[in-house]
Amino acid sequence: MHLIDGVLPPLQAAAYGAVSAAFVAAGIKRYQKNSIDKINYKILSGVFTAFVFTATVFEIPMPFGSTEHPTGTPLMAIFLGPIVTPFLSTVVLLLELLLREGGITTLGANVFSLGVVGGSVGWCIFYLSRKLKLGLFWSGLLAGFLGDICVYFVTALQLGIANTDGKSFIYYFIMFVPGQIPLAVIEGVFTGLVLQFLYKRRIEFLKELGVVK
Amino acid sequence: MGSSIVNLWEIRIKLLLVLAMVVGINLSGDSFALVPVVTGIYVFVTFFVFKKKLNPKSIAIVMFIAAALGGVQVVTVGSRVLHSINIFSATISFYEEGLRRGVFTFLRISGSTGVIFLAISSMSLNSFFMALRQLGLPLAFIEVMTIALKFTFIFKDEVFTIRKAQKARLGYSSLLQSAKSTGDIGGIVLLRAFDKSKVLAKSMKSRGYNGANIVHREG
Repeated sequence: MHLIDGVLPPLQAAAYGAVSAAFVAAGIKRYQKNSIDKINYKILSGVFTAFVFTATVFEIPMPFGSTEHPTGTPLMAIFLGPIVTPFLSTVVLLLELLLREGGITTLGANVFSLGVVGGSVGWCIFYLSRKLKLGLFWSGLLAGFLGDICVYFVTALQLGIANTDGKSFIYYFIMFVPGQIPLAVIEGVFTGLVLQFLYKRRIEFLKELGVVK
Repeated sequence: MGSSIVNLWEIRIKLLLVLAMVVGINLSGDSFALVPVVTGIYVFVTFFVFKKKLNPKSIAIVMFIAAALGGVQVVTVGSRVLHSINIFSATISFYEEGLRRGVFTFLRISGSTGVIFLAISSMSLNSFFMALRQLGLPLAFIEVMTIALKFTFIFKDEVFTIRKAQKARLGYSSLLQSAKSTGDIGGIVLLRAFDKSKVLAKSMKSRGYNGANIVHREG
């Protein structure tokens, strides 16, 4: 979903930037509060940022100003919460600028889809599934899969609203589907397996971060 | 590249210039001024920064996206047909409005990327972080960035070692086993990073760290 510079009209890019900035500011506040409460929180945040950075670097370019890749933010949100995820996603996207991926004017739009939507949807689906008594693996799978799909749904929506090449949202979403469905399935299975592995091997890790009670 | 004139520029000025140029290029709309500006950027990058040693692969993905996005507009946007071709029984028309829009889209994307490429290729990570901080980016960003970069390389090494051990134990003998092994890698890496974070936090705490970032200046 790395939208590159020049794909979005400047006004829309600024609007996404303003909305994302509010979420990022809230994320920084939460990060600073948690860092005081738990001294290893900063390092854990860095670890998950590195994880999402690694996941999003492997990308497939798309011919309409975007790319396809796993997102990683649903897993990040399950562990660190949906409030801090937009902030950490911004760090990921800033680091990716060093690899010439994404853009400066589209940073807000990318943070919105990856951090705000991907993180919140992943987190909500996971905790809803747990409330419905679904197993840890299936809750993780659903969160990873749907979180990933929602990121691309929003990116297609952003491209459709921008209307850069006269195409609708449905066109972009359909274009994303063939590549993204397998990636989303892989991400869902991976999220589920990681959670299951941690539950079996070191449940206190999950308990400490509030993933399980 | 190491001795290019761009390396001599102050990093903050360089970052502000990049920001101004990217915003300028994106605000320019369909202005013909983009043609000399973008051409100038690439001539400068190729001949003065990289001294003709620019690796085309490093900008290939963005150029592909820019060309594809521009190309789609040539055949889909507009009503005045410039030229038509028949492929099997389908007619593909090239439109005048689409050509104009496509060229400017290509220029906007490649121009913005060229500017970012120029700046990033001529600064080290440390100077990039320092400049971001001096330009007012909250310290939390720099903190997480540095920790994340450190762990990215740790991840790389650990994943390589674990994968090798898993392969030796037939961990990738079937699709199901491969999926399970990949999930295990994620779990193991997170656990190891978690353990390292605890050790690191303990050692920082024992040296008086309380979560605040204090920089002791000389003198």
